[in-house]
This record gives sequence, C-alpha cells and structure tokens, in this order.
Amino acid sequence: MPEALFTLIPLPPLLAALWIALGFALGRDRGEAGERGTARVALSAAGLSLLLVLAADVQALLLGPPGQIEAGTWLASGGVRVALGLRLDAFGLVMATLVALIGLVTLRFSVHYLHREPGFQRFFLGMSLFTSAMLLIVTAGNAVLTFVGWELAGVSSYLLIGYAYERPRATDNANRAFLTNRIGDAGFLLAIALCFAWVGGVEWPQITEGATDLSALQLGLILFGFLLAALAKSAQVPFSAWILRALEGPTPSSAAFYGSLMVHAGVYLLIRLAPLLELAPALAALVALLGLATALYGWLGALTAAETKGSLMYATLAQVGLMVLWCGLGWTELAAWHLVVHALWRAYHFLHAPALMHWVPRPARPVPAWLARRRWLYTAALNGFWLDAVGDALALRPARQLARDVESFEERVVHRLVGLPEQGSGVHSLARWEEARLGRAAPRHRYGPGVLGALMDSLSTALHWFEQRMVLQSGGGGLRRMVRVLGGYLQEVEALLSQPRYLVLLILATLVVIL
Amino acid sequence: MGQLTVLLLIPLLGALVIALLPPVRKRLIRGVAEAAASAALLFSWALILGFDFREPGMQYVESMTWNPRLGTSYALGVDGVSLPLVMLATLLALVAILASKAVGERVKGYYLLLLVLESAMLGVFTARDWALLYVFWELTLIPLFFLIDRWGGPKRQTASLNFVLYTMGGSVFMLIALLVLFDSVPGHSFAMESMLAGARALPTETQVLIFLGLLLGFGVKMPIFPLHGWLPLAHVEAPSPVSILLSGILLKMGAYGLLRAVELLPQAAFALQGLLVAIALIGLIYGGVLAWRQTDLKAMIAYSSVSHMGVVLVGIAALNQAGLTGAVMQMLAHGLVAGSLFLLIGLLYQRTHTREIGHYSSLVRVTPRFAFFTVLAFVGAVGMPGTAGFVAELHAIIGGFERWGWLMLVLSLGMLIGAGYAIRTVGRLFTGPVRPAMRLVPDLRRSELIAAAVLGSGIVLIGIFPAPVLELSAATVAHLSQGLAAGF
Amino acid sequence: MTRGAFFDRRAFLISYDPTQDPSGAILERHLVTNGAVGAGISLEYYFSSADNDRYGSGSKVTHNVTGLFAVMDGTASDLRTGLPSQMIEIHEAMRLLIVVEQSLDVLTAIYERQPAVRELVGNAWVQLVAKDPESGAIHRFRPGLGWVRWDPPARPVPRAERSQPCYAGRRDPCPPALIAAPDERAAHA
Repeated sequence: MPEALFTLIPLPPLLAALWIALGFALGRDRGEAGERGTARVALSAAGLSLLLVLAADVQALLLGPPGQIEAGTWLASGGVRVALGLRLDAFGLVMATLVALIGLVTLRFSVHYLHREPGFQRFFLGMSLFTSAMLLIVTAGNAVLTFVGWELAGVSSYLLIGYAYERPRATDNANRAFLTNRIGDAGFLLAIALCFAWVGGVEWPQITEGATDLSALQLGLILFGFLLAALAKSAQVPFSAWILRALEGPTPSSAAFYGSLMVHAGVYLLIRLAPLLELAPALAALVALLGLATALYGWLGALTAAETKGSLMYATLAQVGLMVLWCGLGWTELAAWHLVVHALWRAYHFLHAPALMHWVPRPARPVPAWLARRRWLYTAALNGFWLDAVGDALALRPARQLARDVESFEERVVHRLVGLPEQGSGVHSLARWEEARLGRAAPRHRYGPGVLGALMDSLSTALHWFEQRMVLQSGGGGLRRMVRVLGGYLQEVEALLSQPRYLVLLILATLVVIL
Repeated sequence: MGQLTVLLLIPLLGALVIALLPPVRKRLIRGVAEAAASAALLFSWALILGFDFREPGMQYVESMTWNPRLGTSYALGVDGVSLPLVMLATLLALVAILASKAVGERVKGYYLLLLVLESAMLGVFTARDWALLYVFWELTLIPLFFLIDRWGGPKRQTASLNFVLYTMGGSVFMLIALLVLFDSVPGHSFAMESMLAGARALPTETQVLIFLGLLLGFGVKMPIFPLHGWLPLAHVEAPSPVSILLSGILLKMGAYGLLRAVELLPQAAFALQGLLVAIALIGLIYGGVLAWRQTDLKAMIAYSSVSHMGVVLVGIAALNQAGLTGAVMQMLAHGLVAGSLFLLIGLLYQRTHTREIGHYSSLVRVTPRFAFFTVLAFVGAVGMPGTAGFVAELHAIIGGFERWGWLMLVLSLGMLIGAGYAIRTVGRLFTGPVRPAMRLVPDLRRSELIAAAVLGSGIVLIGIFPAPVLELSAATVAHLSQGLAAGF
Repeated sequence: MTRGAFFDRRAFLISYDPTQDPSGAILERHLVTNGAVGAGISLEYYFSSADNDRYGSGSKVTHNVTGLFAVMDGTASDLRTGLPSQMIEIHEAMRLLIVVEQSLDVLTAIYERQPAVRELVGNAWVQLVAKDPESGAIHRFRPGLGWVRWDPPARPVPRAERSQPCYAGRRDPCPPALIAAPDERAAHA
C-alpha cells in the first residue's frame, strides 16, 4: 500500500462532518428520516479511517512502522514551512487504532441512543469532527498539524457540551471549558512559534532532536508552552475544574471526549515530548508533582462525588494524573500502556453510565469513614477544592476589572476627544447657558465634534472675545458695526465649514494643492 | 489603455450609467450596480491569470505623466501585496451591493456612491505614485461621507463628520510628509520608485519625521490605538453594507499605506520599531477588551477590528518576512471575517431592528443558516486553525518572536480575549430558551446566502489551502523584507 | 365486551365475568390492585407528556445518574421526576378510563368501602364507567354528581376489515375502530 494513502487517515470523518454541516448551511432539515443517512455517512467515514489505520498497522507489523510520511506542503513562506505529513511510528499507530476504534464504537452506540433527538445531526457533526481531530492529533507529523487537531477537538467539545443549548448552565459550562482550553492553546501556539524561531521547524523528530542544541532557558520556554497545552487539555491541576463542567453533553460524547480520548491528548503530547522532558529535570519534576496532585484530587473527588458521571470523571482524572506522573518520572512506556488500557476501559465505563442502576443492585456506598471524619477535607473534596472559584478570582475578575478600566478610559478620554455626548456631564450645558447669557441667542451651529471641533470652537471664541473687546474699548460706532459684520462673516464661515458640502470643498481644496 | 485603468473605469462606468437612469427605476439601478461590481470582480480576478508569481516588482504597469512641473504621474501597477487586496476589494464591493437590498430610499444616489467608492478604493491599491495615491485616498472620503451621513443610523451626522475630520486631520500630516519628502528627493517626483531611491539617502532624523507624518495619516485609517476614535461610531452608524466596506477594505488601506511607508523609509521604520509594536500590542489588547465589554453587536465588531488590525501592525512592525506575510494574510483574513460579520449582523438587524446582544436568544433553532455562517465567521475571527486567521496569526507571532521573543505573550493574551468575546457572543445569540420576539426571524434568503457563503468559504479555503495565497504574495514580501534588511 | 374493537395499544384488558361475582368481591380486589397500578402508570405518563419539562425528566441523553437513586441533567440540576421524553413519544396525554361490566349497586358499594378507590375516582384522577350486565346501559361516575347516564353519540364508529389499515403509516394515536370479526369476513367472502 502506498504510504501517501495513509495521510488520508484523519480525512473521512472530517468530510462526513462537512457533509452534515452542508445540510445545515443549505437549510435542509433532514429530520428523523435523515437519521439513517447521517448515521451511515458518519459510520462509514469512521470505519474507513479504521480500515486505513488497520492497513497501516498490518504494514507496520510486516515491514516496520512507516515513520514520518509526507504528502506535500501545507503552507510555506520564507523560513516558515509546514508539511502536510503524518508521523506513523509505533506509538502513533497504536494511538490511531485506539482513536478510530473508540470513535467508531461510540458513533455506533449513539445511532440508537440519540434516535429521534432533535440534536441528532448536530451530535453526529460534532462527533465526526472530533474523531477526525483526534486522529489528526495522534498522527500529525508536526506540531502545527497537531495544533490544528487540538483546536478542532476544542471546537467540537464546545459544540457538544453546549448540546442542550436551551439550558443556560450548559452553555455557560461550554464557554468555560472552551476558554480554559484556550489558555492551553495559547501555550501551544507560543511553543510552535518558539520552535520556528529557535529550532527552525516544527516536525516532531526535528523538535525532539533539535532541542538538544538549545540553551536551558530556550528549552524550558518551549517545553513550558507545550506543557501548558498538555495540562489544560488533560485537565490537570490547576486546570481540572473545566472537565467536570464539561459533562453536560450527551453521555456517548462524554465517553469519547472526557472519558477516553480527549482527556488523554495531553498525555499523548507529553509522551511525544519525553526526550525534551528528560533534558529539563526541573520541569519534569513539576509535571510529576502536578500529576500526583491531580491523582490525589481525582481520588478524593471520586470518593465524595454523588453523581455517576462526575465520579467517573474524577476517577478518570486520578488515572490520567498517574499517567502524567509516569511521564514526569520518565516512565514513558508505562504511561503509554496505562493510557491505552485506561482509554478502552473508561469508554466502556462511560457508555454504561446511564444504565448503571440496572447493573448495581445495591444502594450507593457512603463516603469512607476516615474521610467523613475529616470535615475540612471532605468539604474541600466535595467542592472540587474550589478550583473554579480560584480560576474566577485569578483570571475572570482581573479581566473584568481591566475591561472596566479600559472602558472608562475610552469614555473619559477617547470619547471626549471625539466629542461623543457624555452622560451626566454638566459642563456642556453650563457652557451653553453661558453663551446664551452672552447674547448668542441665535440657534447654535453644530461645530465639528472632538478635538478638531474643540480647536475650531476655541478659535472662534477667541475671535469672538477679540471682537467684543475691540468694540468695547474703541467705542466707535463705525468700527463696532464693521467688526460686527466681520464677526458675522466669521460665524458664517464657521457654520458653512460644519456643513457637508463645504467640507467636501475643503477636501477638494487639499486635492488641488497637490495637483 | 492599461488593464488596471479598465478595472478602475468599470465601477465608474456603472456609476455613470446609474447617473443617467431615472431614479424610479430602482430594480434596474440595482441590476446595473450588481453588473458593474460583478464585472469588476471578474476582471480583477482574471488579472491573476497574467500575473507572474515569481516576479517581486510591479506588474500590469502603466504610466502617464500628469503634471510634469510637480513630477506627478498617473502610474498604476500591482504587486504581490496589492493584488490580493484588489481582489478582496472587488469581492467585498459586490457583497456589499448584494447586501444592500434593504436600502429603499434614494436608491440611485446610494449605488452611485457605492460604485464611486469602489473605484477610489481600487485606485488606492493600484496607485504607483504617491500623489495619485493621495488623490484616491481623499476621493474615498466623499462617497463615504455621504453614505454615512445620508443612509446611516440616528447619530449619523456626528459619525460622518467625525470620520471625515479625523481622516482629514491625518491626511494633512500625510500630505505634509509627502511634500517634505518630495522636496528633499533629488528627482523631484512623486513616483514611488524615484521616491524610494531618494528617501533612503535621507538622514535618519528626517526619515523618522517623515515616517511619523505618514504614520499619523495611515494610522488614523488603520486605525492604530489612540487614533481609533472615529471608528466605533462610524461603524455603528453606517449602513451595514457600508460597514462591510469600511472595515473590510478601508481599514486595509491604512495598513497597506503603512506597508508602503515602511518600504519607503526602512531606517525610520527600524528606528520606530519599538513604538510601532507598542502601539500594536496596546491596540490589540485594548480593542479586544473593549469588544468584550460591548453589548451593541456592531460596536463589538468595530472594536474587534481595532484588535485585529493590531495583529497586522505587529506583523508590519516585525519587519521580517514572516511578520510581513502575517500582516498581508491578516489583512485578507480580517477583510473576509469582518465583511461577513458585518454582513450577517446587518441582515439580522434588518430583521429584528436591534443590535443589543441581550435581546437575542436561541437563534440556532429559528435561523440555522444564520447561526452556521455567524459561527463560522466568529471561529475565523478567533483564528482557529483551518481558517484564514490562523495562518495570519501564526506568521505574525513567528515574525514577532524572531524580533521580540517574549513580548509576543501579549499577542497570545489578545487571542485569549478574542476567544472570550467571540464565544460569548455566539452563546448569547444562538443559545438559550426561545424568546417570543425572536421566533419569527426569517432565515437567510438566496442572494444573502450566496454572499455569506462566498465569504465563509473564503475564510475556510484560505485556512485550509493557504499555499496559493502565500505564493501570490511570497515574492513581493521576500523582496520587501530583503530590501528592509538592506536598507538597514 | 371489547370484541371487535380496535383501541390502538391503549387498552389493558382483564377478564372478568359479572355473573360469577354477584357480591363484587373479585371486582373489589381488581379495582384496588389493578386499578391503582393502572392509575399510577397512566398518571405518570399523563403528567410526563402534559409537561415534560416540569413533571417529566427531559431527554435521557444528558441524564446523569445521581446517588444511585435518581437522575439529573448534565453536571448540576434539580433531580428529575417522571419519565424521559423518549418514553412518552407514542403516548397521548389522557386520563385512565376504567370500564367495568357490573351493576351500579355493586360498584357503589365497593366505592364506599374502599378508601383507595374513593381517592382515585372521587377526585377524578381516573374515570370509572359501568356497563350494566343486564340492560347494557352505560353510566359514568362524575365526582359530585354520582352516576350519570352516557348515551353513545349518533356518529358511527368507523369500521375496518383489518386493524392494519387503521394504523399503517402514522405515528400519532389512531382513533378507535371496529374490526370485522373473522367469521363476518368469511361471510363476506
């Protein structure tokens, strides 16, 4: 089989998603009758991807993994070049098989689970997009393509958390999840840019090999960017809170996204970057520490959480935290094994969650006595250690404060410069009253607003004042009349200037200067 | 007569025909306007056939001496930077005309002015003589002034006057800068080439002064941070099709001019690099934060334009190949994104007569097509991979990194804020319980659908296949950045 | 009594012969047990389909089993009562109609004896209709009014050869119909 064909692996689900999206755009409501067609398209697309992956697997078993393959250039300009290629080494292939398999199974499960749901099409759109994105993440040959998948996964996750969009809580949680993920994305993008600048390329082998030549600081910065992305995506402490809010979507999507696939994307990235982590022991220690913290967090949370999806999610976090811990300790192989087994197991677990009461014939287990005795710990675990509130205090509130400050700057300074009406400003009307007292009872002409208007205004006032003084001091009737006429002219000119046609004339005049 | 002259004349011809038609024949007038804009679109896109991608300099050159005493000439030409902008301009002009169906009164004057505006904009992008560029630059003001002043919202008079006074104020500095330059260049000519040669010989202090003048002139239009005062009001008050042109093309004129100014005065640009990037980053955050706070949809898009143009300025200020590529790409991306956002919000406003974001709810159920294209546009605005904005931001951030390293964290922060307001707006518009007032909003009609689809697919196509567009500008940008390096 | 009638999946039939039960003891047990169960099921469906948002539990796809005894929507909501929207799709919201072949006296006696029946019928949670085994007259119990005679409307009940044409191709509830009995069909042929 030609290797270039393997670059098509992430494509079929994407096309399926596009096909469904096209239906939306054309306003064709496929309704219930369209369920079968949509399901068939989505399933065969996922199936095709799985077949391609399996073909690659077979070839890898027989001939060894294809490694880095390229099908062309995605974008190139000057020193920046991004290839359109995949990295199909042993780990990538295993991950791709896992993703394609779980994607297909979840889709198949959902065909009946979402039967006659109003959001059927939307759900399959999101799921197909997600399958494609995950496949791209795990097979992409360079950081930019991984990032593309990374973002697509974020978008599809947003779409499916907000599945029940008529409930404000669902949309709020979708926003929160998306924004938290964007923090990680910013880190990812930063790392990509740094790789371009310091390593000279973003192909994964190039990064892992080129990094050895970098200074400790440079390496640290690149790693920091990637780590931020990985920790946010895998919901490690301190980003854990979003993933608990993310369980708003239909259960099959929770299974695929947060139970088994997307939550592991960060671990995948860490495994890819293992050679870099080895070079930066301090960061590796940090990773191990955060992983350990997350494992504890997940463990305590799972003990206290009352609802099924939540406790499953805490359990997942505990396991993922352990994987991150293995990565930090350098036990990459263990992390990889752990990842695959856990993904399979957790997908099964989550898909079972709705039918849990059929499977568990006993009442819910109480919180263990030792935990119940430690009131503060119990409260903290029950509240998810207030990570949400901490996030609010650290990010959301300062952002709001900043917005308020900037807006007041805009209102006090910029708007005043422009001459927009201000609310509650007494000065304006006072000035007007004063003018009226001075005898300029004639309807006031509209001056140009803003700085220029003010300049013109003050100029005219000065002239006006000058005129008055002249007249008063000289006391001569003729002069007074003359000056009054002159003043009238000036006012006239000024009024004309604030009228459109003369303004245009002024523009033309400046044109004449240059001709 | 050269091809570019023909291109400039097509909309003018349309305007002329409209001028001769009786004002009551509204449909005919509209038809003529659509035909003229389509012809211009086809003609400008056909230019690409004869365009040599490897040639960095001007192509389709034509030149005619205009005023030998002053050294001005009627010289046109396009290169890899201006051709994409020309293509964008004709595209958005047609979209704006397609979206103008709701304009019911004084139709004749409206379309006439719109076509004149298109011609003037194309003139700015194709002019190869600074005097000619200035003429076209000022010429855009007249139709715009009337379009806002006559067909705008309740505060239109203030808005239009503000807009013109601001731009004029900037132009005065630009004119003075050009005259100083003209005076100090040995050849005494306004042609870009001869000025280019002459300007580089000037001492750095003079260059800096001239550059500051040009920066003021172009910066007002772009707009750069403290000079953006006219923008929110003008965007809010202008009729929506004019907003499309205003943010889609007019802002790009400023950036384009600045790019030319950088090419003209590289030493000054390097000397002021710090200032430029500071302005850019402040604008980026400032616009984003304010967009986040707006409740008026149009004002929000207007402020987001300030933020996005900040990315363009970062790219320009980087003064290297990646940065300049990012700037050009961001100009295109933002043209498409802002164009489609203003188009969609404008159409929505026609239906609901409110721009207040809080009045909307759950439109995804009522108007799925609207929802689809608006989400697409917002996704593009955030710079998601797979949209044009991503390619642009990636280049800008890489360019910025090579120059300033850590400082680009601010750009990431700006992106985060961008995601914040985009997501929030999408959430408010399309989700939540169905409100009775929003239940009967009609979905996109066919012509509107076509316009939205063209822009939307543009955003996605450039995002997925950026290579052709990059190639289009690659040679010129490479030449430009080498020239900059050499000039330094 | 129900021979030849097509109720489109609405009926719940219990065999009962009034001639074997003059005192109403068997009927009494039926009404207390089956009546209450039927009423419970019917009311659950009734309320869930009348206002699924408030009395039902919404769509099952976002459900989250909580504490192993209830469900909530997504990550946090009130515990949901009633049936999910997927379960009420084929149900028409209507009150249970219990039709009994027995004399009014026997039924009245049961009604008076059994507080459970009184609770349900007397408060109009379900409707009780009696068909007299001898005269065939039909009476409906109206709370506050007692037994009210019911006469069938003049409009004839539609007839059909088979039940299949009545429901084929439709998803909404079908009106009742009379189906020709096999021997009648044979006579036609």
